[in-house]
Amino acid sequence: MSRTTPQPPRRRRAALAAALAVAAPLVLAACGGDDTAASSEDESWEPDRDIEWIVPYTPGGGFDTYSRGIAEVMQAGHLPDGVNIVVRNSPPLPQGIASMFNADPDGYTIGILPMPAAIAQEIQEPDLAQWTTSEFTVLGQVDENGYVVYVPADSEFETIEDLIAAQDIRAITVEEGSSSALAGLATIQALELDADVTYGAEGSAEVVTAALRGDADFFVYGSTDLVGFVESGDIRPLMYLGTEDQLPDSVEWLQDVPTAEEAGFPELAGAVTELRVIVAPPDLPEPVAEYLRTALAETMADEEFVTWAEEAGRPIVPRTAEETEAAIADQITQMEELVPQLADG
Amino acid sequence: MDFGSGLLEALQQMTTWSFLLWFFIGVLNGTIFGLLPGLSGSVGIALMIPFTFDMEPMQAMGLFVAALAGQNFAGSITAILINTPGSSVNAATTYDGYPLSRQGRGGFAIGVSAMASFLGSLIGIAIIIALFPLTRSILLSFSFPELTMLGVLGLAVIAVASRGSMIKGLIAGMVGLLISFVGFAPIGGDVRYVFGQAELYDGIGAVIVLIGLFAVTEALSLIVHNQKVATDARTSRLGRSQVWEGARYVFTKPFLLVRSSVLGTGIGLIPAVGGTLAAFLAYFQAAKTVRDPKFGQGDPRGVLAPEAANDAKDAGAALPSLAFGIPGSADWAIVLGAMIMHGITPGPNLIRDQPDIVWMSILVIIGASFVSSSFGIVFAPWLTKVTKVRASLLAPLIIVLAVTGAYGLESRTTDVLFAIGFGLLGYAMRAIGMPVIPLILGLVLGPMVERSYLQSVETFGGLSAFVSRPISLVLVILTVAVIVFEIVSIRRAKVSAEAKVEGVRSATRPFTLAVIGGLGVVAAGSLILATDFREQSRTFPVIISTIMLALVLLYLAVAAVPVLRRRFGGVIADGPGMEQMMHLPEGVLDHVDEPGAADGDDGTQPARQVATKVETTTAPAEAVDEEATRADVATRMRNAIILLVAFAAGVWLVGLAITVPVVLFLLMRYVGRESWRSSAIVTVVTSAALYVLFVSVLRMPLEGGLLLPF
Repeated sequence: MSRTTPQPPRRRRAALAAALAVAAPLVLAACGGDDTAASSEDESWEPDRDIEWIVPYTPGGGFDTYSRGIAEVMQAGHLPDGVNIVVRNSPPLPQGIASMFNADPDGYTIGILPMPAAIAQEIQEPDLAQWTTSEFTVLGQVDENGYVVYVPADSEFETIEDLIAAQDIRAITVEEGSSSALAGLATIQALELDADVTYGAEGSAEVVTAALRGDADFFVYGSTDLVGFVESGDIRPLMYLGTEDQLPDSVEWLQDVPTAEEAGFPELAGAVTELRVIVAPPDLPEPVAEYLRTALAETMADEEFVTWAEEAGRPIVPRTAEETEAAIADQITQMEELVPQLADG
Repeated sequence: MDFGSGLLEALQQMTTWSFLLWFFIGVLNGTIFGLLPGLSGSVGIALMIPFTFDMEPMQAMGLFVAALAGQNFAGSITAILINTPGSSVNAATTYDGYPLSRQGRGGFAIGVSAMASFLGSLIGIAIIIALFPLTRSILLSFSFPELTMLGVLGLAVIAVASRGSMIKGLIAGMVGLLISFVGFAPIGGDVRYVFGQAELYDGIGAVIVLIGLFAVTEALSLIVHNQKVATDARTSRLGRSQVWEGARYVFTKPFLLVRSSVLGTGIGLIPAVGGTLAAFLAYFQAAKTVRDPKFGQGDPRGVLAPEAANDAKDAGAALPSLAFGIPGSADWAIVLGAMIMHGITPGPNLIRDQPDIVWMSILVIIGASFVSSSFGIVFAPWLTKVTKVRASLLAPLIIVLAVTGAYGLESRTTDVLFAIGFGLLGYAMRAIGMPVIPLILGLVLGPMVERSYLQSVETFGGLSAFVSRPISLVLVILTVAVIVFEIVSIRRAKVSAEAKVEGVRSATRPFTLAVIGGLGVVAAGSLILATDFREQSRTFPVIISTIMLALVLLYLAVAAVPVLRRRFGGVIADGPGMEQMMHLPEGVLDHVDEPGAADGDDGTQPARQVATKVETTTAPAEAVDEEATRADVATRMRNAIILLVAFAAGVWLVGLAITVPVVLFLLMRYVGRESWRSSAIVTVVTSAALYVLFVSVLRMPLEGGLLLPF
């Protein structure tokens, strides 16, 4: 919907003067440039202005962190000089996804798509979901985040069996239709837990505090989102819901956590795994898609990005566009089966 | 590295030139973003994140925390000088800060605010250092029922505080709550009151409403009456001595300062409860506890209390963030996110693993607050000159800057339309003596109250948790006590029969009844629409629109039925507290008296004339002059309102880039009556400056309009 100006104006000096007064970081923004030669007539394509990157969540969360990490390395070394990636946070989820889907397919609007939340919303709330998940132009994937069942450290539940045996227990989660709420519901269903769910927490911090003060007995959240609280011994992981090959090596404490397969629930393993997928609107011209896919793949393989991810404690599981498309197709099939069941249960 | 040696480590790393440079850039960023209406400090912080990628984590964190701590005071400057809070945390400061400016005491108010802000954050930091070991138990004692009741208490306080027009205050609060329902329901999955507009899914931002209700309304009022902000400033000096007087004043009220700071810190400790509530609670505890209050008429204690509280609240919010990894505020959420990007893991272990980061943050909060307050004290004499700028120049600039700021937030045309729409609503509300502040508080607290209420019921299986948990019970009792106390004191207050008759008369003017009736229609509409929502999404809209509808019907019934009016007229009568809420010091309205001579292009206009007629203490002046002034004001008002509507339409049709210069020029020329030459010069310079700032530096994408897509 929003269209950027064709070319930043040549007001360099004035901009610099004003910017110095504001703040040096902003100067860098002004210095980012223009003057890129227009693309030639042949099949190849190159961006000649900034690319907008939509994050359908508020700043500070996982999707935002990954996006900014990629954007930084990508514009530094994998895009023409002066072309920047402008990260735009556009919550709430349905609106963010819709604006990715409905933008002009010109390569200047891309975004990070949470799976399976996108397809689950599409099935659950067809009126709201102004998109068709399967039609996005897929550029690649940066991470897979397997879910984990956690309990507060002082909980009476030592193993997943204890939880299954318990009666009238309570879970807390974020908004309905999010990937982690789905993972929680799938867990409750597969394990046949006698549990009620309180929705509406705003992010991981609220989920953890609610559990710590005893307002919830357990919760299901991503494996990489709560590292600080696991390491401090405030919460304990009971079961890993991803598959064996989704286990990130970099997260040490996760290696000893029983997986759903080991615990005897193979159908739950990988049923809901959060994929962080980079997409463009449908019908993106092939040369444009090719250019962006290559730039993204190169960025995710870049030493600088890998180092950053390690330092930030953000495991990365990069996948090519074809692999990602296949994974998305799998999740769509899965969700078409799972979501109606959850709605019934 | 233990906690104590972390302090040395932090000091060592902080006393480098590069750290200090980033620290100052951070403070500047916070100050400037805090100052610009629309662009809040968190936008500034988020904008900086990409540029810190290659920086040392320590320096990057110094930059972020400095920006976070530097913003609160800056927002009070605009609240004081032009009645436009930089963000909602400064809204309470307008109550007394702006009247001070109108009396030519703006510098004094800035001095008070600067010193209160700095000392507030100092006291807050002292408190959180003492509370570090207790963080966990404090955090864990506030569950959903406590959060709900904190919000309800805030709403109760604000409603009863609109003394003299309590029922109007209540209605305004309900309007704010209704606006807060727009968009996604926090629980239940419905999208409410969006009318198919995708732009409304995320709700209507408090910042947009703030820009409209304060900046646009105030600018409109200034230019229509063609007044400088500082109306009676002829005698008093705006110099530096006034600023220092303000700074010294804070030391004469040590107990109020400490009370407000403790309150602010306490609110900050509780995640999800914002600084806006802290500032308002501090303001009203001040209003209820000090001797000889002149609140609303430029009492400096009304600046001291909220400003000390909202800076102390930032210190308070640092505790859960640093000691526990739970963001204490939206700004801290971004800073914690930035920490992760720099390989620092926030969480309960941060203090053990990296005490230097914790100490650095604490020192930077104090330092940034000191530096930004110093900026204020140093620059106040120049800043206050803005109150001496003639309205014909100042008001169009405020309108244009506010509207551009509204657009800059999300680059959405709808935000511009809302800002202008709320500006007109604010103007109508002011004309009928309905306070706007309860609306803001309802809007800000609405989502928190609704969400935690539903979570309470879900988690604890009913309403019993509200009275069975000790802290929640205390809050319930406090809420009831506040309401009872207020009702009793209203009953005891001796209002002369004459004043009461006058109050009832001003409360039953046709325009007042029309606006109230219009709000009743809105409430009824909301109620009807709410019946379609799913169960959990429905609860609050149904409750609130029913209450609002009942209040409106009560108001109209008392106004319309003579028997009721005689007996219960006091319920709706405008009281002595009303003018305060309207920010109209004595004398201002003298020039506005207008006996129905003008043509009504807009519904607001004729009624406004009636409105001002009653409130005015009619000045005996030469009849001819009076007549000319009246006609003049009427023309200005007509032109200003036409131009604002044209502004909205223009932005919608051809986009901001074309509309802003045109409207700016027309406002100056035809409402402000500036000369062709100065209108043209100011328009060109302002448009160029806005372009550089927003398009070149902030990279705001310009959108065309309906007719002119580009």
